[in-house]
This record gives sequence, C-alpha cells and structure tokens, in this order.
Amino acid sequence: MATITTFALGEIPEVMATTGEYPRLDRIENYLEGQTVPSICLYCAGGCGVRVTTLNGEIIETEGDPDHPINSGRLCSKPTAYPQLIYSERRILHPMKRTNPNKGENEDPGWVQITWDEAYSIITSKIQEAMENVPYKRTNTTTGKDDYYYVGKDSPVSWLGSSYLNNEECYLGRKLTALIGSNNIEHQARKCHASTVVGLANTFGFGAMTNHIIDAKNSKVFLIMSNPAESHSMEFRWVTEAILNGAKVINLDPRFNRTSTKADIYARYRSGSEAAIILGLIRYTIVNERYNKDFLETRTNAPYDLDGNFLSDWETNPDSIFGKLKALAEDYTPEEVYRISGIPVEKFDLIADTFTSIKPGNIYYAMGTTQHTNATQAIRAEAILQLLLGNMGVPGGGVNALRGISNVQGSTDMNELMHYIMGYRGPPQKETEIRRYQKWKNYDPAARGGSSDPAAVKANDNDPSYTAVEQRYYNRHFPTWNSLEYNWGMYVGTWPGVDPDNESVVCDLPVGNGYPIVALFRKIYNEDIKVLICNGENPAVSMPNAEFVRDALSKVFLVVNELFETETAWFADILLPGTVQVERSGSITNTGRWIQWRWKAIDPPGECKPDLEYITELYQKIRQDAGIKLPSERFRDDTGNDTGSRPEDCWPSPYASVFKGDPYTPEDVYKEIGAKSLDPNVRPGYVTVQPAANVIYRNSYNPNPVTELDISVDGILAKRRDTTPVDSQDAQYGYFKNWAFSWMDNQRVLYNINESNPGVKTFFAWWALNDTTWLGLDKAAIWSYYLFSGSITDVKNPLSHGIPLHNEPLESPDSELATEYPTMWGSYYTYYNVYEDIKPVDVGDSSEYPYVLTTFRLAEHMQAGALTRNLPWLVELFPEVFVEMSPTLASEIGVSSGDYVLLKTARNPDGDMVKCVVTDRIQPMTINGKTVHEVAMPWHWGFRGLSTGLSANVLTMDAVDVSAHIPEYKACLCKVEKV
Amino acid sequence: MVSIYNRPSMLFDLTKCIACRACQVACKRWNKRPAEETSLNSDPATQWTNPPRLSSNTWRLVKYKLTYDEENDEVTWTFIPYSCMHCNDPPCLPVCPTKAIYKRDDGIVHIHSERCIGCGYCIEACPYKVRFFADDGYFGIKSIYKCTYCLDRLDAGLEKTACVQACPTEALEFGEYTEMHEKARQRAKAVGGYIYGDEAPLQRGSDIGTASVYVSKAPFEELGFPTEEQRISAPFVMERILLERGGLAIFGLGVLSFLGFALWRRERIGRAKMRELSKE
Ligand code: SF4
Ligand code: SF4
Ligand code: SF4
Ligand code: SF4
Repeated sequence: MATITTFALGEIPEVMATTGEYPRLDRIENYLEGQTVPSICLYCAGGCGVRVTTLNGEIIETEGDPDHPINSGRLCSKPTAYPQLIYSERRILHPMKRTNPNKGENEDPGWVQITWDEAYSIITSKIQEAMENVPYKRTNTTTGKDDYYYVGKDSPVSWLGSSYLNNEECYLGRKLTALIGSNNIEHQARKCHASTVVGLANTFGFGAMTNHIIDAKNSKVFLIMSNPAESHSMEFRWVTEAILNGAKVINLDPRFNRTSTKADIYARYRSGSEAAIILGLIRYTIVNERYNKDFLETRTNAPYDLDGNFLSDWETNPDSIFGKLKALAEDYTPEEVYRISGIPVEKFDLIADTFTSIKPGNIYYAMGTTQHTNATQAIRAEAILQLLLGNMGVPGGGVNALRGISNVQGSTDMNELMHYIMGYRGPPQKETEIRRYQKWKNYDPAARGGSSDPAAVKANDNDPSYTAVEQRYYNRHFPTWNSLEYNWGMYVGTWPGVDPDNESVVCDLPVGNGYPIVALFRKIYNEDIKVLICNGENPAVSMPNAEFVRDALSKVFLVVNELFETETAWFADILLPGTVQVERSGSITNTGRWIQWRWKAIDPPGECKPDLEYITELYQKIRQDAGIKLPSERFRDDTGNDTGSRPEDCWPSPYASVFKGDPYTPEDVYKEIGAKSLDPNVRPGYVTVQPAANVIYRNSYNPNPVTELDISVDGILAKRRDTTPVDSQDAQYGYFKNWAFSWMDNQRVLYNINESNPGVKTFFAWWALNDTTWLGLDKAAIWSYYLFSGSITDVKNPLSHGIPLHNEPLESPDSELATEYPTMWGSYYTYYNVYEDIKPVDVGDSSEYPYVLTTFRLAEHMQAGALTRNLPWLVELFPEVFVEMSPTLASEIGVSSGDYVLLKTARNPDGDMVKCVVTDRIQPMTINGKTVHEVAMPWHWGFRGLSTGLSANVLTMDAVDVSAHIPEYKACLCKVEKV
Repeated sequence: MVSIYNRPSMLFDLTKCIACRACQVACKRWNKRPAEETSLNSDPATQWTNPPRLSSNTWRLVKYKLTYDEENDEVTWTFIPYSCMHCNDPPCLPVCPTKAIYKRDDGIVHIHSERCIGCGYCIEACPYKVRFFADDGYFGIKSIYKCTYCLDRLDAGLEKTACVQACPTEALEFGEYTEMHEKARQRAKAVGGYIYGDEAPLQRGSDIGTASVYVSKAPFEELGFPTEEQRISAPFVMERILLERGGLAIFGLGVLSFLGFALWRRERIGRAKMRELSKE
C-alpha cells in the first residue's frame, strides 16, 4: 500500500523564536563573541569547509568556512541547514532496546531505554551465540596438520558502514570485523562507485576520481553525465568559473535537470545506454582522427600487439591494440547510437565534434553510469576515450567520478568491503597463498618478521616458480598483510615458519572474500548470517528491491548506530545513539582524494557516543565477554605455541594502546593508518618495514616533520590549513598542496607527470587478457580477473575479450535490442558460482512493464534521507516524494500533474501510489524506431522521519554489475497506472 | 535625499543560479525563521518552487520558471532568487501612516516594528510583493517582516549577507552600489542579456532603481518582473503626495484617521492579498 506523505513542523526552540523587533541583536552579538572551529561538510564528497561558531559549549552558527579553498565560505542548501540537524529534537539520545518481538513497517518497536552496558551485553551474547559453532580450524589432508583460520564469508556476523564516519572510525570498523573473522562487511561504496573502482583501476591503476574538485576550473570542455548542480553543488562553483573562462558544457541526462540549464548542449538519452554513447564517441574519435598520437605512443599500450611488440603502423594495423579497439568500436555509428540511446544523429555529431576538438576535456559521471549490470564497461569506455584524446594526467582533464557521501572515498580506501582488507589489498584467498607469504617473510626475516631458522625455506621475490601474475599479486598484497600483523597485533603465516609447505597455517586475517551487499542480504534472509551491525547506513531505503531487504532485516539480530530513528532502525533490536560530525574529530577524504581534518566543536548530547569510543568498547566487550579469540590464540590454547599475537596492545592503535592513557584519540589511529616510517617506540621488539597500515595513505602522517607547517600540525598532514602555493604550477592550477594532504603522495592530479611530485604511474593499459598472455607494459592488467573470463566465449560479452561493448540492461524496453546486445547479467552466476543458492532476481518483461524507470537525487535531500528529511528547512523545500513523467505519457495514461499514479515493477507487482509531476523536462524518446517513455523518481524517501513517502527502491532491481556487484538501480522497467 | 553611493547592493546573476536554494535556507538560518508547512509543488510552470511565495518566515525565495519550445525541443528553466529590492525610492515607505518604515542612510529599507499598526498599506504598495504580516508584533498587533539586507551583519562589519555568503556559484554577489551596478551592466553585455533595477530616469518624480540589481539572458518582462509603471507605486501616488507635501500637521491628522481606518483595512487588505498571492 502507498504511504501518504504527512509531516508536522518541529517546535521552534526558544533560541529560534523571533518576535517584534528584528533582527534580534543577540544573534550577531553571540556570533561575534563565539569561537570558531573548522569542520568539513558531512553531506556530499565535495569536502567543503564548514566553520562552526560556539559559545559556552553551544553552537551559535555554522556556515561555509571562508578560508577553505574549495568553497570560500559558500555552502549548498543541505549543510546550510546544519543547526537543525545538530539540535534536532528527533535525535536518538540514549541506547534503546526493542520490546516488540515482531518486526515490520507497521510494528512499533516499543523502545525502552537501556544503558550502554546493557546494550553491549545483549550484543556480545548474540555474537557469542552466533559464533559458537563457527569452525576456526580444519585438518589439512595433505599435511595432516590443523590449519587455524576463519573463512571470511562464513562468518555469521556482518557489519555495514559507513561513509559518514571518519577515516579512523571506518578503519577501526574494518579492523574489528577482520579480528573477529568476518569479511561480511560492506557499506555505501558498493552501491555508489564499485564499478568505478573496477573500471578505472584496470585501466589507470587507481579506481578513483583522477582530478579534484577545484580542477574543474582548468577544463575547456565538459562531458557531464551526472548532475553536479544538484548532487555536488560546490563542484558547480568551479564549473561556473570554467564557463566564465569560455568552457563548453555538454550535459547528457535522461531528464533535463538543474545542471542542464547551464549546458551549451543538452541531450536526453535512455538510461542504460551509456556504454553505447561513449563507444560512439570512441568511434568518432578514431574515424575522424581526433586521437592524440603522441600520447598514445608514449603513455598507452595502444601501438602494441598482444605479445607486447610495438607496431610502427599501429594506426592501420588490425593487430595493434588500437586496431582491435577500432574494429570493435566500428559498429557504434551515430545512427546506431541513436537507435540505442535516442540521441538524434545531428545532436550526437555536435556533441562528438565539440568534445573531441577542445582540450582539455573533463568527463564527470556519477550514479547514472555506475549503477548498471554493465556499468564497469561504460566506465572503462570513458577511461579509454580520455586516453585516446590525451585528456589524462592533465589539469582540466580526467575521468572524474563524483562520489556521493562526505567520506565515501575514505571509507572505500579503508576497505569496509567484502573483498579487500586495507588499501585495496585483498585478504588471503587460500592456504597456499599464506604458505607463500611465510616464504616471503622468511626471505628477509629481520624486516618482515619471518623465521630466521637456517632451515627455513626462503623464496626469492623472483622465484621462477611464480608466474608473472602471481609475482605481481604477491608484491602487491604481502606487504599489507605484513603491516597489518604489525599494526593489528595478529599473526599471518605458518608456524613456526621453518617449513611453510608442511606446517600448520595460522592466519588471523579471515580467508577468502565475504558476500557483496545484495548477496549479503540474501544470506541474511536465509538466516545464514545472524547478526548485522549497521552504522550510519539505511539499507531499508537504499537497497534495491527494498521490501525484500526489509524482510531480511526482520530476520536478523540487528544493531543500528544512528542519529535518527531511520527506516532501518525501525527493524533494530538495539538502537545506539550516534554523534553528529561536529561532536567528534577525525579525518575524511573527499571525492578529489583530499584527506582533511575536522575538529570537534561541541560535546555530544545525552548518551550519544563518538564512534571511535563505541567501536573500541564494542571490540573490548566482544573479546572479554563473548570470548571471541583470534585463530592464533586458539592455536596457542591448543598447542601451547605462542605466535606473539597481542591484539589488545594494538587496539585501537599501537600508537596509543589502552595502557597509554586516553584510548580514543583519532590522531593515534590516523598515525597508524598513514605512518611514513617505522617508529621503533611504537611496538618495541617487532620488526617490519611496512608500517603504514593503509598503503594508499602512506606519508599522510609524517613522524619526523621538517617544515614549520608540518611541525605545527604534529605531522598529521590532514590538519594543514595553508593556502600558500608550493610552486608556480600550484598557483596556476589551484592544487593547494599545502592544504591538507592528498593520496597518492600529495599528488593532486593523478598520473600528472608534470606535477612537482610526479605521478607514481605514467603508463596506461587498456587491453586486459588472462595470465598466460602479455599483460601490457606496466602489467596493470593484473586486475584482469574482473574484466576477462576464459570461460566466457560469447563475443557480445565484453568479458570474453576485455574491451567494452554495449549491453542492454537486464530489463530492456526493446526486445530486439535485448537480443542484439544481450545483457551481461547471465554471466554473473558463471563468474561467481558461490552465489548459486541465493534467491533469483524478479525480472519484468517489456510487454508487461513498458516504461523505463530511473531514480535521481535532489540538491535539498541526501541519499536515504535521514539527514535531510528530519530537517524542517529542507523538508519545506521538498516535502513529498514524486515521480516525474512527460506530458505525452501523462495524457496517454490520463493523469495531470499532482495526481496519484500507481507504479508497478516486477519486484512490486501490486504497485505503490505516488504523486506525479508532469513536466516538459522529460520527453518521450525514439529507441530502435519505437517510442519509449522514461519516468524518474527521487529515491530519498521512506516511512520514517519528518517527511515520509514511498521509497523508490521498493521498485528497483537487485541485479548487479557483473564485475563489481553494484546494483542496477538506474534502469528497470515499470508500469504506470492512473488511480 | 539618500545618496546612492557607498551603500550596500546585491547582484543577482540569473545566468549563474543553479537553484540550489542555499540562499533561501541561509536566510532562514541567520534570521532564525522557522520552516513553513508546504506540499509538493507540481505545477507545470512553477514546479519545485517552495514555499509557493514569500512570507513573514520566508524572506528569500527561489522561483522556478519552466517553459518548453516544442518545435525545437528546447526547455528553458529559469531560477529567480528574490527578496526585498531595497528600492532607491521605496513605494512601501511613504504609504506607511506611522512612519514605521524608514530608509537608512545606507539605503536599507527597514521598519520600527513597535510603530507598525498592521495597516498593510506597505504590503499593497510593494511592487515586488516581499512584505508579509506575522501575528507576533507588539501588543498582539500584526507585524511586518521582510528581508533586512542582513543589516545586523553589515552593521557589525561582516562583509556579506547570509544569503550571498552561501551562494556556491556566485550568482549572488554583495558589494558597493555603483560597483555592483557596473558589474551587472558588464555582465549583461557579456551574455547578451538584460539588466533590471539599474538607474533610470525619474518616473513621475520617482527613482525606480533598486539596491538589488539583476542580470538575465531573457528579458525581465518574460520573467514576470514588475514593469516601470508598477514600480512607481501608482495606487498610492495621491496619499504619498499628501503625506510628503502636507507636512506634520496633515501627518498627525493622517495618523489619527488612519488608526481607525487601519483597524478594519489591515485585516481586509491582508486577507485579500494573501488570497490573491496563494492563487499564483
Ligand atoms: S557541495 Fe557537497 S560538500 Fe559542498 S556544501 Fe554541498 S553537500 Fe557539502
Ligand atoms: S521591494 Fe518592496 S518592501 Fe522592499 S523597498 Fe521596495 S517597495 Fe519596499
Ligand atoms: S539579505 Fe539577509 S535578510 Fe535579506 S534575503 Fe539575504 S539573508 Fe535574508
Ligand atoms: S544560492 Fe545562489 S545558486 Fe543557489 S539558489 Fe541562491 S542564488 Fe541560486
């Protein structure tokens, strides 16, 4: 049934009331008297500075930080309403326990207030119960010995989020789950840019926005396939500056939005045809010789053949990688692009001519591209297009993934993800890897902590028995495991390490990947996962096929750590009061990879607990009260052999063990994450050369600061707030290298070989094949697992060869196109056979569900809505959810703007009611010669909060990107009916 | 006469506005105005504008204006942030029987709330419709609210008003009157567009220029801005002349008669006005 929107406006607190004479002079007096504290915006990943003014422990004002280079005092609407978030009377102030055993949208939880200790004791007893029979050892049939480790996906304890937390808190969340043997950890990043990481990392090396926010000002042409005016308003400050300097803006979007109003060329296209459009641009670039020959020859593997030979006639030679791309892109003529996307030929030519003739050009994209079953392919195509044009590694160029939540880059880097452990390094996948790791340690025992017994088998770093792929893989992952042994106080290897091939494996890192978010909820639904600890994340609204997810949430022991009683909290067994970002300190990483510090401004209200404190206490209780031990400790208990693991000494950080005073300073955890070099005082007696726990964040902490600036921040480079340019380039392009720190190594434009600290990677590969074939000059194609599968032979599937193609969404509105360009979804199960036992996706057919449904965001609301739908000033702007449709469709159905319509999809065949906005901003499109209608819905709403309404995600589909597991939110089929 | 030099001025560049509504929220935040209860604005032409009009609690509003050229398949979506213009020669001022409304030396048009008798004449006189009653005046009398140009901030030496500070794209700028107006002229020229609120020859003795000045690509008539004629405050020209020329004696008499007059008028005009505006 439909949820009708209702809300009452919150009471105006005394300080907010105004009578008679105005303005009230105490306002300005208090403001001038108060003290200011720098913070960073908690909403999108723009990383804008917020200046908080406090007086007598209360916040008097929040506003844009005038000293901040990104926003210079400005802020978009969401953080402008910040005081209503901080002082909301709707905040949860005490831990609470559910008393109603039934769960459901219409089941009041019956909260009763409890103490933190009671909450911890309930949680730990549930964890203990769930983990009782989880095996931590198994007998190895070859060696006959017991191997000690947890299997990462078999843990019944799962953890979510969050991108709203600081780096240190995310880091501890990952540390906690690893130390209790679980890789069932996921968060928002899976749902926003998982496909970016796979698409870009396999082409460039890093899976992140290549340039940064301010860099937009250096662009001369933009291809915007996102909506920055609404989703990242401050990014548009810099786009505006570029426009004033003559830049051209091309905006592609299924619906004319606030960004489109500033575009020189706007074209609507059908959701799900992104890859075809970009391939069309690739073809145009090649056919019209708009590519940058010099760049291709010096910085890409385009001129080489598949065996690694340079071909001097690469432009015409079909054996060159360039030639292969040319052959595959050949089909994407403007006519074909029109047939697939609906962009008229003339307009497409104009777009292509504009984008390929002006330099430097910048591609902005976001969820409209990342959330598809073939998203990784579309993003790879963008990456390849920018390489062809030579737009990479230059200010004003790049493939710029706009990330959605304030610290989503940081939470991704901290790898709150099922397939990574830290800094994009994976967990051990199998025992043999751990045995090899032990050999690797033995090779240099003094530095790596291996066995120095002369009998220890030593493997050379270039052991000929390793394939090139293995070699690269180990070089990549082993140093991080080594660092984590050091920083987490645990053990990975064989014991005693003298004979790695025949000893017991003892590994405290959970082995093998966990379940990605959609599969995770199916595992929860099947009751294989019994505990879910959810921090600052609202899957009941944000997950596709949300009704299924809500059913799953009803079956699990659910702990929610939140500011408000969200839709997810409604299903919680224990609800914990979280803190607003101004109530704690820490670092966060913006979409442009700037690691910035935000300082605590006030104490949290009630019993709200900063996450660092909560995660630390939870960890300690899990260890003490639930008796959860590391595999190495079990090994010690069973055999008496002490591997030296001491996790307590290293929690929350070896830089501040609990024995050294206040255990909760984020600075200590920050140091652990980004230490530059080994400090022998930190963990005496332990050897390693890999002290930065997160390799991506290396050098963000400098224990031996030299410059006055670095000394002034005690080496915590994220705290730097100096806008003085370091050199003329910095001044010209706006790098702000003395402001905070940026990964990698403070480089502001990734792969820029002209920057003062040049890019760590200068060469790009875009052809990825399997491990028996040439991998490209710099072996970037080591990642090819995600892009190539020897078992896939269908040439229409890009995984059969590694070059992007267009593939239709799982639910395509045109059956002919669906046959010609078959969905990639079919290969998901072949690829990841571990998910066979999960519930299949409900798929609708275009004969029954004729219209395309997509979802979008509004400037005034944030993601799943808790942070804005509870703020009266923002609710006032968008009080209700709606669906947008064209006047043509509205008249076909017989509805007028403002009427309720019934929206149905295969996930929700009975449908839900929602008001419609009939708008000229949406028009029917011609796809494959037929008229196709697209409707669009903002997805911020749910059934709790000041403003409530239908969650768009009860309609969307839980099929996922084949390479990155990101759900296909943005293109599914629906039916719209008059009510 | 107030000099038009050295006084605060706001530039609204519609070509840069992305309708993020930061200014609308910033005004509420700085001035501590509560949110209004609203509902979905699904009107095909003004969709998303919310609240639908200014009010005593909403002194800054971003209007959305959507038009569609079917033949060329071209959408034009214009965003118009607006608030009190702080007119050079404010039509709202002379009609106030108690002289509650006043213009400061720097040109900011403000009100002595304790003098306001709630007659509502200024509401009717303002061509921009930026003035509204609230029930919270002195002695239970309705009181008028509108944008103050953040005079508390300016008086304290802050550089910008709250709304201007917030604006991400610099669609709003704040500065000295002549500088802002000059900038507006240049900007209008650069985009091949129009300017509104700039100095103009006196119209029937009235300076129709405003402290706030607008730049737009489309002509302002198309955007629904008041015409020159409307800006002369025509319905009140007689009363105004009376007040200005008659001096104190007539003013005193005026106050007395207006007091009684106002008691019934303010209710009537206020209601009628609200009705009319809510129909917009
Ligand atoms: S652009 Fe993003 S970071 Fe900047 S103020 Fe807006 S929401 Fe905050
Ligand atoms: S805009 Fe209206 S209220 Fe403001 S000064 Fe002009 S007439 Fe008076
Ligand atoms: S100048 Fe001040 S009072 Fe006027 S609209 Fe802007 S913020 Fe509001
Ligand atoms: S803050 Fe600036 S861009 Fe945003 S709505 Fe107001 S004037 Fe427009």
